[in-house]
Amino acid sequence: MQKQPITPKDIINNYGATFAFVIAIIFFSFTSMGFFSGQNLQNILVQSTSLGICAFGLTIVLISGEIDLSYAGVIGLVGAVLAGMLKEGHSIGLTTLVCMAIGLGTGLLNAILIVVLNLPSFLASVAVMFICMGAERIYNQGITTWIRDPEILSIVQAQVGPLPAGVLYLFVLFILCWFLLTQTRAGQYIQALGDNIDAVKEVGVRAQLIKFMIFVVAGLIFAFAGYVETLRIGGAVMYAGKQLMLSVLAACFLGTATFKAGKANFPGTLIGAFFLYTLLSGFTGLGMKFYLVPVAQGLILIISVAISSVRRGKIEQVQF
Amino acid sequence: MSRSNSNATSLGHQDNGEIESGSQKGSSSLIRYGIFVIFGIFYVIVTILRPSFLSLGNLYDIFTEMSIISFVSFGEAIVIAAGGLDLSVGNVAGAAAMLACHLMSNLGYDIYTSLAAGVAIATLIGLGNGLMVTRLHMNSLIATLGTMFVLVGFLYGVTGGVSVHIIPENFEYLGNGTLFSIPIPMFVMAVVFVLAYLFVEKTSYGRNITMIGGNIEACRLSGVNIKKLTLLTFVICGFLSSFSGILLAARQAVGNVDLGERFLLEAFIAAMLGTVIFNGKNIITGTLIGAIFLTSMLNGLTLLGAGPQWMYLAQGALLLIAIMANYYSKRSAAKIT
Repeated sequence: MQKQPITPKDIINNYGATFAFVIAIIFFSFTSMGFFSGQNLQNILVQSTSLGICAFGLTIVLISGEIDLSYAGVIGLVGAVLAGMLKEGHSIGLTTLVCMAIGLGTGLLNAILIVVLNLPSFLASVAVMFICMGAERIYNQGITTWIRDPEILSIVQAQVGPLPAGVLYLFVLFILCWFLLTQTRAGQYIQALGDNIDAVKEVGVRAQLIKFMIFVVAGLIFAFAGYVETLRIGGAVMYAGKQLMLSVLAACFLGTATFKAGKANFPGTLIGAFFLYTLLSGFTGLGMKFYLVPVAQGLILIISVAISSVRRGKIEQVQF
Repeated sequence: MSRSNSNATSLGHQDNGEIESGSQKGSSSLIRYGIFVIFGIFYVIVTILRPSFLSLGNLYDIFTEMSIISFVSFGEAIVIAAGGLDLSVGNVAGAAAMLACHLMSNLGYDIYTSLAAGVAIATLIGLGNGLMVTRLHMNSLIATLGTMFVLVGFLYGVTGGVSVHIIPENFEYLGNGTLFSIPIPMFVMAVVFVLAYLFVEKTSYGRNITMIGGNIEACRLSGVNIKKLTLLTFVICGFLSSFSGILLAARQAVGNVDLGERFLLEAFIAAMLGTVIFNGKNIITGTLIGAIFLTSMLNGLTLLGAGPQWMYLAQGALLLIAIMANYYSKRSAAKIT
């Protein structure tokens, strides 16, 4: 295939959010109080860890052409169980295992509903989200539980070199995901699934099995995100996942406007996550009110999705 | 079906089937009649355990509640019929109610101006949603999710998170008053129901809207103006949401910021049940029945002393049943044609 000449429009479509990110950093460096300091940049990194980890899980699912919103429930449930079990005096090892088992369980549930029973992924995962929120509420009775043991908190908060451990997890997971997707055969199949599932089936790849695995892996990553989020905050707040819900979606969709126009990808998601917290940090430095935060997030989501969908040329339908 | 496969956000499955009524037997009709049977059994159990369930006062309560959520459910059902989904309905209802309450209680405008302003703002937000979906080709889930969060922030910003308590008495009458011993919301509901029914079933607009959701390619080929009609569904949805919000504020006699948030789940459940009950036909009547099922279930559970977590669980289960029935009825229709 011959290469098309690159027009300015293509560049905006493909790298629009990347430019916006750079411009935002420059803008805030000049205007926002104490934005461009090592401490603040580290804060941005730390704040975006659990968001970024969770967004990686969603990105895998998005690449395969489905969606999984169950993270909003899984994060909260994992947090509640983590804090609750530690309070009851269980060992951290056992607690970690239980947390991961929850991720495995919800991932399996998603996979069974979506791949085996063939339900639409959006609705099935929302149902799982509600189940998790209900379970969280029943487990912790709506009470915030704090974790006070510094040794346990250090799993995420300890300084490894210049950065906290949580940030390292984020980067390690990023490299793993990126390697899986671009350097292995399974990754190629996952990308192909999102492009044309029928072609993948024709070639003889077991598309259903891959899809099944994607949802299980995503469930595990969501549970890990909940684990990191709880230890980063130092306790399980009621419905912690609900607060992350829009940010995670926004990070993924910002990512679609960062590198590959219209397609979810890991580098884009990583930048998207940083971008979101850069904006929050910058606007807070400018003295923005707390209630404008969701406004800004909503607008960013709309703009970033609009950039990558406007040239689609026809209405996108939601099928049930 | 030539939906673009290349985009990563293609949600859901690609089913090509026109929805056909009647002739098929199978899992879909089983679930459909199952819903009626389950509710029949539920009503009997609740009535035996709590005889007050069937008292006149409680029935009034159920039907008033049902009337209030019916408007937003009709709107959501129309959007779903055209293949979209509006996640912002709850916040749109809240915005309309808060604006109306703010104008009449804090700024002293008369009740008609305030109500008109509330309805107008909701319709405008609906128009915005529709434009994002039809002009910018955004997925309606993402577009309305964005709207939802923008509205949450704005509502807090404008009101400072403070509830509006002082409400004129004739406004409260809208929610709690009766006419010929029938609650006012039921009158409004009856009028809106008839209009919505006539619009969807008896006009070419309405029939084309339901056709878009069934088979968008056929619509495109037969020259239906898909953009205009999809835009219209979102405008209608915004317009109807305001009724729910305003009447709920009137019933509670207080306007608070998160007033409409419960509407999203409730409207979605009622609308999905509505699509299922008559197998994709007659969605407005179906939605009304769905709304009755939902409110009576919540009411019955409250009488039985269930806590909020069980309410959520019951609503989630109901939603799942409705989705599965809807999906399987589409699939069996696709197999037959």
